Amino acid sequence: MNDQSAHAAPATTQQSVDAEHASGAAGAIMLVVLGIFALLGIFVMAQAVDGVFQLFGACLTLFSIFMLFRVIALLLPHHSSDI
Amino acid sequence: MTQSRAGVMPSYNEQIVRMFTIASMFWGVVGFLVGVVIAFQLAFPALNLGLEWTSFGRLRPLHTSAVIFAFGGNVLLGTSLFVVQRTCRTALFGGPLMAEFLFWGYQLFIVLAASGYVLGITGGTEYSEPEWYTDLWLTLVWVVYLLIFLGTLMKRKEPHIYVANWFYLAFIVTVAMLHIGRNLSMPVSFLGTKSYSLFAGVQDAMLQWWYGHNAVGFFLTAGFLGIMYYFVPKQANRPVYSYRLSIVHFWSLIFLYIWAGPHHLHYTSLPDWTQSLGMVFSIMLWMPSWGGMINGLMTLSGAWDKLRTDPVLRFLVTSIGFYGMSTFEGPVMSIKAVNSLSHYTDWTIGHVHSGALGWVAFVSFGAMYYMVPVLWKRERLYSSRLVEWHFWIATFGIVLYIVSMWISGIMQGLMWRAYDSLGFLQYSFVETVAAMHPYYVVRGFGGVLFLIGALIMTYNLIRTMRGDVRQERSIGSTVAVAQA
Repeated sequence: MNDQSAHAAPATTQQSVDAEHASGAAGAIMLVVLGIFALLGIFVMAQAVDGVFQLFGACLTLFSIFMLFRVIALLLPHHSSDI
Repeated sequence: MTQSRAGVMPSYNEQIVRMFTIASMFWGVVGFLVGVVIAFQLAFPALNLGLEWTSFGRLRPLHTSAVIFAFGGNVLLGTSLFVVQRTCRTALFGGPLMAEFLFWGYQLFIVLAASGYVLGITGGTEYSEPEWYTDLWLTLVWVVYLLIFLGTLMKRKEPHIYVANWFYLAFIVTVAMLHIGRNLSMPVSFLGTKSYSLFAGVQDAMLQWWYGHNAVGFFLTAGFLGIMYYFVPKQANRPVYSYRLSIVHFWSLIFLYIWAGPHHLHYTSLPDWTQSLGMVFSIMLWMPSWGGMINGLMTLSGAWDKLRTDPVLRFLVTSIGFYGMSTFEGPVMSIKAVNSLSHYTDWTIGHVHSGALGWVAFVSFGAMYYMVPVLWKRERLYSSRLVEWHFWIATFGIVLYIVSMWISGIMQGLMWRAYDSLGFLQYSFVETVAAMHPYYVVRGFGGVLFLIGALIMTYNLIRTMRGDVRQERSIGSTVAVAQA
């Protein structure tokens, strides 16, 4: 194989954590977007004209709320999980 | 960042690839299981259970979407993010936020599509059944995927873009184009599920098979060729046989594939020249397809002996063999004279599954067996013996499947066109269905074997993730002793 993939050594755990830590600005934007999605899901649930579309609204809301929690977890300093 | 043998070693986002790998295992088992259920429904209609939610018509798109978009999609997303980071020597663009949105957003798409099918919500077009709201959601998720992939390529630390990334990029861009083109539709209301396509009649049919065939070409072929070009050389520890051929393979494949869709509409109201165009481009596809297959197989030059001892490599190489076989069979079936026999029969189903099981699933299994020890920092898989069991059980299952469908399909086509001495049709439709029954049963058992293989893989990978190692004699050790 060419030399690019020759460097495909696995990263250490510490390095992986670095690559998996979120930045604040992007997180703030994502929190707003997910908040809008959650509200949209609630609106769809309330106004839908059929049951499947109500389900879609519920899924969208659940997804947004769970993702909100996940984004907050990614934004917190990663040592906080040791508490 | 730390110093490594090669200099500065970048930090990669491994977590997202681990998540996609687990999702692939889960959706793979779900998709294969539903496939087995509907295979036996065809043989034994009582298994429809008399319920609309469990009827063949609703479960069939659930099966196809689960294996193509849920299993195959998660494999493609996971491997592409694995490969692009390593070959560009940089972490993913957009950080963990965009990556996690991509992962969970894609899983939401799968849930929305699947729940719609079971509850009877469908656009009615093969492989693009989800309704408008699910399509819009996937568009959003896919744009995020494109941004992550392109952004990572743009901030790469390597001057060259490795060929696997070209295949992945073609897959991402073309699937976006196909998805938007096929799903241009008008919702009946903004608060209901139903919508109608912007197109009608033969234009709609042409658009459907432009989409459908290129879903095969770019989702199930180009993306998985990206897997082949990274994981086969890595597992064999050999360079790509011809890097120049891989570039020719890429450009010729993506140029030719996009025109081949009309071969799905032979002998319809589609203009005859368009049908012939689709046939000719399909036949021309032989060249890049076999060029790629030869490139993949010849990468084993000097390392063929590893097939005796490395069952993971066996999966990868066998997948290339199936790629060659199904890309030979496809152009043959696109020839009008052959298509007049094969179309609408089970031969097509057998052809699709030789590609889907033999090529797509096998190359995915090989990539997953390679990635899991790397991602979970394990020295090796829990058990190579179980990989070997998986390989042989799944291969036998595929053989049962495609041989039974060849026989069933060709018989079906011949019975449909048989006339008696007075010029009347010799067989009624129901007689053809009755004749196919034993082959449907055989096909079902082939699917069961394939499912068992996937369960073995899931067990093996979970034990590997937990850090367990099975004490076992290495594969090929008997041969080695005998030679000594």
